[in-house]
Amino acid sequence: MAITKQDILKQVADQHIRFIYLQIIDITGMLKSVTIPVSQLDKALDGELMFDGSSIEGFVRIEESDMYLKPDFNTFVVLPWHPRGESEARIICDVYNPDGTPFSGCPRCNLKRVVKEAAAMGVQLQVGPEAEFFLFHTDSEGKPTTITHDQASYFDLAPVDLGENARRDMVLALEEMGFEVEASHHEVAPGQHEIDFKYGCAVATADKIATFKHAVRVIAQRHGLHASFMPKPVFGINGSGMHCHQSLFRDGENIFYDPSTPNKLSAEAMYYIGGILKHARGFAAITNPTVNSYKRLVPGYEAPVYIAWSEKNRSPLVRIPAKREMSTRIEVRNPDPSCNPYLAFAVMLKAGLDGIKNKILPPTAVDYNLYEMTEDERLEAGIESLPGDLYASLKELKKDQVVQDALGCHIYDRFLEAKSREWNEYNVQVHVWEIERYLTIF
Amino acid sequence: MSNLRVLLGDPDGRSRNRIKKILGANGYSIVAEATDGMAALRQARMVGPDVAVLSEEITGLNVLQIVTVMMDDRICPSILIATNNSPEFIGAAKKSGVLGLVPRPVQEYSLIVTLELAYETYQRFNQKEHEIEDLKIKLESRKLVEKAKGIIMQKLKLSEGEAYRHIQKRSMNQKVTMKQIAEAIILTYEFESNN
Repeated sequence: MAITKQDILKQVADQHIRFIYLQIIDITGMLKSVTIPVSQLDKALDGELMFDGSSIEGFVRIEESDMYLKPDFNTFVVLPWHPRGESEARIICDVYNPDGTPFSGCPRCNLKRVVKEAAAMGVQLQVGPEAEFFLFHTDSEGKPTTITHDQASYFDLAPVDLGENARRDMVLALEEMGFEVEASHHEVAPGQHEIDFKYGCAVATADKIATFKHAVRVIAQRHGLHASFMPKPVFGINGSGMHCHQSLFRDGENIFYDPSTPNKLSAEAMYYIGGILKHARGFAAITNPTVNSYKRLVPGYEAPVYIAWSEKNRSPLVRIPAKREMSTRIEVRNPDPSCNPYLAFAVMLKAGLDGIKNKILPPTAVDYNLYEMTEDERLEAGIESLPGDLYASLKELKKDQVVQDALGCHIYDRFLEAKSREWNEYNVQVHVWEIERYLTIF
Repeated sequence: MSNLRVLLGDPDGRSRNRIKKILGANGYSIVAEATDGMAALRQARMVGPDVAVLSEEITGLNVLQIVTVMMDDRICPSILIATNNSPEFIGAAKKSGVLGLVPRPVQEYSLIVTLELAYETYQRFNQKEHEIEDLKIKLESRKLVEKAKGIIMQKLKLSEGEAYRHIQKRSMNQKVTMKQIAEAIILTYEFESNN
């Protein structure tokens, strides 16, 4: 049910809320807040509040800095924690130009644009994310370390599992914020956790991921732990992914399901997979946007490296879970939680739609372990791999017009600029590995 | 004096030792020690102390943030060791839910009294909170029973007392609460009037 302005004003009065965070999404997918006192709320809800866009990364240049905040009433929620000892609420906003048009540099507005394109084709994307993260201890100055509870317990010596307790509180807080949490469990690596929530349409799910990351960080801190969504924080153990389950709906029906075909997948599903596989190299820079992302995408840690699909094996980029009918879906396995979910959904949806528009058929499914094949065998089977580092994936992004269209010029330019800078910074650094390897032998 | 289990959070070793000495001499046991805020929260959740004594100078997190978490999640009451007497600090402290403040230099008498009073206040606060919860549940049940009673009076042409007895009897026969019976009556009534 849609929330109205009156509902919000009533809730704010009933719960004695004094401050409201107006949240916007920056180019990296982080929530940025403008805090307003309750006296400004009426004006804010009418979309009359302006802010200085030049203060937010990836937004605008100084000369075009005044932007409007247009709140999405359905995202209003009272925060289940009390940052300053009193009740506070938040509402997510779209960023608009002074002339009343959506700002092309706002990732949320941009995703809405791509969702509209899908709607023009009569389809709606449904996404279910599985975000993994680590809970780390802090050092004696309160700074985050990569020590997990499993190791830390040697000196803390207590029967209580802090990580499990923190995760339980996270689930409770998320439920209070209206999430339907489907599963929450300890992951493969020590200190690694996963919380899955119910699938939904693209914009709402992206909102949930942004909110989720924020909530997880806050609750972790309340337990004296540091939550990190870094894709590969510790060498030698599994990294954190954010698998995205996707399906397309038309008039309430899942169009990926077709009982008449042998694998019960419709032609649209096959084309969607075809589009995803075709553009995987092009959108990797968006779904895996950090230098560190590519340290996760290596053989041996349940992360995909090769561009293929399978109904059985978990090693390729796209897996088809066994469920059919309404739950028919594809699981794209390369995205990691450092990505901006608004941009990641936009590029994946656009890639899939490109598959449907141009009837791109995927290659034959690969139902064996790709890591056990030799390079020659893979070449022969025509199986490509994802870009090996951020530099390579930026090069691929520059070649992929469909992915660029999904981002729009403004975001594409800013993204490329920021990420090229990030790569160059990394590239000129002398890393610990180099010191250990070369200092003594040369 | 009581033998409360105390968590002590203070980055300064000398100050910690002094407070430990006072507490030890008065029969308290120090069950956890922390020098930074994050560790204080971890320790608090692991050992579940009766009361936390936190220094204003604690690092990592603002001491009042720690107090708020301790209070929000009902871990334990906290008292502060502080020197700051600015109106801003006092104002923020009031909102944080802190239950007492001992100024430096720490005096034995004021530390013990503040700690004991904070513990007592917290116990009473908790008890009242449980009472309120119970009352809320009872009130909710009462409201529903009243509403169901009205429906029964109207439908079965019974007096108020008879209608109440009717619901009570059903509750006893079916071994469910009166609230559940009331809910069923209201639901049936709503269902019937919608058709």
